[in-house]
Amino acid sequence: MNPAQQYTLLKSFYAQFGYAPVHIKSFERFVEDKMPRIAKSTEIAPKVTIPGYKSISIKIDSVKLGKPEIREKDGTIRLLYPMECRIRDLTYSAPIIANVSFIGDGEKLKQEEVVIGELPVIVRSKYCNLYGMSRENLINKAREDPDDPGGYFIINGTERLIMTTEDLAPNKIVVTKSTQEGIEYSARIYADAGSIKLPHTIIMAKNGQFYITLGVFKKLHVMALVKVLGINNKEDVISFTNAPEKAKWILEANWIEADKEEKEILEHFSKSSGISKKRSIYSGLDNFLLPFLGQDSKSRVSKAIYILYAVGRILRHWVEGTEDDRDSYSNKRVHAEDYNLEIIFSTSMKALAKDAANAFNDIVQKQKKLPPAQYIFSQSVLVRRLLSSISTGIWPGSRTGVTEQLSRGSFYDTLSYLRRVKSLITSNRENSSARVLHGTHYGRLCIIETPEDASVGLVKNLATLAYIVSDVENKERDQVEKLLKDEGVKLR
Amino acid sequence: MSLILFDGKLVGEVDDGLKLVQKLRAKRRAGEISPFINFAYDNEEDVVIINTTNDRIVRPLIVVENGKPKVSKEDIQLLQQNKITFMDLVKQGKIEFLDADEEENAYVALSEEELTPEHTHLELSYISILGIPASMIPFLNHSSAARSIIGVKSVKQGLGLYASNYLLRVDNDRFVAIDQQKPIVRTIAYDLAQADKHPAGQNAVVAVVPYLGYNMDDAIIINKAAVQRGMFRAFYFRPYKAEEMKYPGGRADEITIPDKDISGYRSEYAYRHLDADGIARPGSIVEEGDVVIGRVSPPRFASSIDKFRLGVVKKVETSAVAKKGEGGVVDQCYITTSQDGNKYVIVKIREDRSVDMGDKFELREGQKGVVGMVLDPADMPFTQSGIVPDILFSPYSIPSRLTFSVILELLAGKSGAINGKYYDATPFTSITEEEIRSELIKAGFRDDGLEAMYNGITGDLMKARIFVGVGYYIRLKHVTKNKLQWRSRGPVQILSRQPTEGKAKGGGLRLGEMEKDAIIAHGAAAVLQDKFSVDSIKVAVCTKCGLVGIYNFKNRTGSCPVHGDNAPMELIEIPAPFNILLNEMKSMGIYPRLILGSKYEA
Repeated sequence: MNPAQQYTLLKSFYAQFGYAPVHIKSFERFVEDKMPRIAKSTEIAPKVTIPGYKSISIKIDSVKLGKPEIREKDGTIRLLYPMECRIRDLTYSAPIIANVSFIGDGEKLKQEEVVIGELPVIVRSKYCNLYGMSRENLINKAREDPDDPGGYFIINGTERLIMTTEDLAPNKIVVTKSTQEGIEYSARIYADAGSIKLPHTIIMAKNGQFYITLGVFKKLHVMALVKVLGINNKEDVISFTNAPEKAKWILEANWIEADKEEKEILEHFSKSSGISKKRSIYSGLDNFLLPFLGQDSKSRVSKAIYILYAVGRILRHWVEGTEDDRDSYSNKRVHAEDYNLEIIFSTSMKALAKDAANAFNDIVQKQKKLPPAQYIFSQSVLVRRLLSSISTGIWPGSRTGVTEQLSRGSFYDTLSYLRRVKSLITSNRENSSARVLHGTHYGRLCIIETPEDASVGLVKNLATLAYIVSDVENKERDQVEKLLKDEGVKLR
Repeated sequence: MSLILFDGKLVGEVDDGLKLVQKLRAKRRAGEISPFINFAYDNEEDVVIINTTNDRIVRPLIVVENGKPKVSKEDIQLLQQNKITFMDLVKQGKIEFLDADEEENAYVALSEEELTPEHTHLELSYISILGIPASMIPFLNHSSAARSIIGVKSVKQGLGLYASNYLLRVDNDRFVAIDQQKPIVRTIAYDLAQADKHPAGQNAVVAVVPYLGYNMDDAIIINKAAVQRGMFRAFYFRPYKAEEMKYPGGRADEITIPDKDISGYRSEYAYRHLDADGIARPGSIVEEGDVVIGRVSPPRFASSIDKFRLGVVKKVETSAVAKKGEGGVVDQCYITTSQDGNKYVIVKIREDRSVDMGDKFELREGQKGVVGMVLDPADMPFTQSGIVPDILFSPYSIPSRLTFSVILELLAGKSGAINGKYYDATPFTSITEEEIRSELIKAGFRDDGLEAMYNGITGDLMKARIFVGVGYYIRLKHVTKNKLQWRSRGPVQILSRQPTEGKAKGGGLRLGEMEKDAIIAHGAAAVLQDKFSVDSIKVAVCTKCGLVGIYNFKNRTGSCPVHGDNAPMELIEIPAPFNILLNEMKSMGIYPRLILGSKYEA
């Protein structure tokens, strides 16, 4: 492509996607996908009931985001624009309008529309009042810079941005040689099933035995676990690992170690984990072992197959003396607004559910009849938590620095902030391999732009043609699954 | 049998994994599958990888089949005429987005010339490896990468128009540079980022010559005439905010001109700018210490003490005052209400930041420098045609940094200024040196950029010819006026009685250990004595037990903690931190006995 052609392609790429599409698209995805899903799965279970019914439950049927508006102290309501928020130190947020139904013993008693809280809105997104405004209106009516890229929140007058963070890919097996005593190889899997995030480690000890650790379950013998999960047959085990010939003796050795009765195996497990009841061990494994593969008893066999596949990968690397490249971008993922807002929104919704249940209990105890929905949903619960997290950058799990104040030193600095990718690795360690430029950065991350201080190589910036995927919808995933079936794939 | 990993889950298996992946890719190119779902085949593991999650970084590449790119010249023409969009080409299967997994299966060519039948994709542009700010560095491929990392920072720090509605905004601590220009030597990145609407530098005539020693060690000399005509002029904005808060009991702040009997009243002079509503008049010129928003508040620690207070409760002065070392013109006032419904006043002060000695400038290639001298135009060297440069840049900064792109930029800038055109200096696709040289010759100038110059002071023709060009200089936010700090005596820390730290607290500069060594080397004992006795305190020590006791300086009586009131005490002078050390030792159970001796005995 000659220069002129290159430039045309570049310009049309930017005309198509804009400057920092990830912040806006990721936020829109949160509002369309995750927010309704979290709200609908919130359980509000009050203890008190009204006469005639054994139990009452409250369900959120749907949520939608209203338009950012302001309610003045004298009661008037009007549309809110970002400029007004910046000057008056207001928060640019929109009401979350929910359809709530009261259910008594399975029968829907009433349904009402109620505002359950407020969500800060990202400037220039679909939900912002500036969306779709003409250039003249932006300048004259909204008093905005028409070339301002948007993509940030306004909290109490300050512009805050959720920084795009880079983290290790979840649900991927990464095999590395171990430097620890007594361990040959280890495989890490960061299991992520939305609400549960739990790192799993499978180690191959120097004596060839495999152990897995996850949460409270420490050093469970892998072969024993596979037996308990439902694969009892040695031939199946060996075929599922697909291990190379040279390593088959290791599997034999592991199988011999695991040649015990289920009762004895479970006793071992309960000693190491501290869980005593057999039922609790099983339910613990169902809930926390590889949760992205399912959290019920039906998923046990597929979890065993997955563990054996991981063992096979370790053996294939061990035989060659190789390991996976932890710094390759295929093992990294980039988290934007929807990932971070999901975390804070689910914690806040849980708090809201408790608060609503308590309010319901208090009112119904006295009045003995169903209250209007707006009396039990106190808006401030959601508002306070969301605002506090976004303005301080402190997220549940003591994660700090999630948001930063958008730098307005110069226009280019603002643009650079919007295209920044921060690694979650702390900058006070050497970590040279994580800082160094990798082949997979080609075309994804700028090879030049990085700070010169302690965070060199950890704070990166997107390349000119890099795009963070935020558009895939569930129906498109289902479509691919359907295509797989059509192509003769044997699905489990 | 190939296993299939769908977003990390083992969902099944298929006979031929590679064929499946090829089929799925074909369907995606036909528009039947989302363009952001990626398929890869790992032939070492014999595994099909399907990625659909919304958290991967993908990049667009032109699809190549049989050694021919699917995007044709006609497609590009249609793009240019806005008849089709980028996504149209994606939907037609001509461009596709690859993530890191799928790119492992691809063989990407950098240019059409190197295409072979084995290649699968073609890069859209050579600058796909750079980000936008880095792509703004002209001729980056001619410069050392290390210097470009430094240069990228300057691109981002330039003073200019940070937002076109800066007059309305109330951001704290902001510089706005007026009359900024588009760079003559530019790159495509400026178009992509809409940067021309927010320019942040000026095209300056630069002569590369060491002059009078004022531009040694990366400093630059700037022409006083240029400064006086407003080159690189900037303003500094600082808003002052005050809210009429309400307190329990019906009491509230009030924004007004404080009365003389208010506790903490400054002086009538301090309030002279305030209108009757207590807000400074727009256009008035305020100095440090002047009141910008007058406000009185009810006293704190009220409620329980109130009951015992008889008479009128005195209000407290809580005005917004111009900070130390700052002042300026009252630019804008906002009177509005806060979230809580209280009256909220914002006054924006604008102060001039014309170029002064010590202000920092940088070219885009990472050549930083501080103004060493604002030189009288009569003393500046001038060319035969009478051109007097704006900036004198020392040539010694170039060789060790390997920033040859500076020389190219200056040459191209000169040609652009003379011929009235912009030059494309996009890394890897820039105009060539030969083209710049030929355009200079056509305009009647030397193609190597050299000019015969006269010494401005003596009037003699300089023996050597000087390289003169036009460079895009960026003014950075490190400005002398904001950093100037002075103190003779002032606030001290409570604990150590040493001067406070930091400009905001009126602090002093630290005389460190190495500085102490330098004073010793000069033999300036009295200076040392003075500096190190700033935090001295007089304490009384009991000669019986050697511990520090209490001393009443008025009555000249002392009392020892061990030996009581009539203990024999002697006064000594020690630094306050030494007393703190003694206390810390005591708190650890160590008995620090001070053994005193007369300072006159041998």
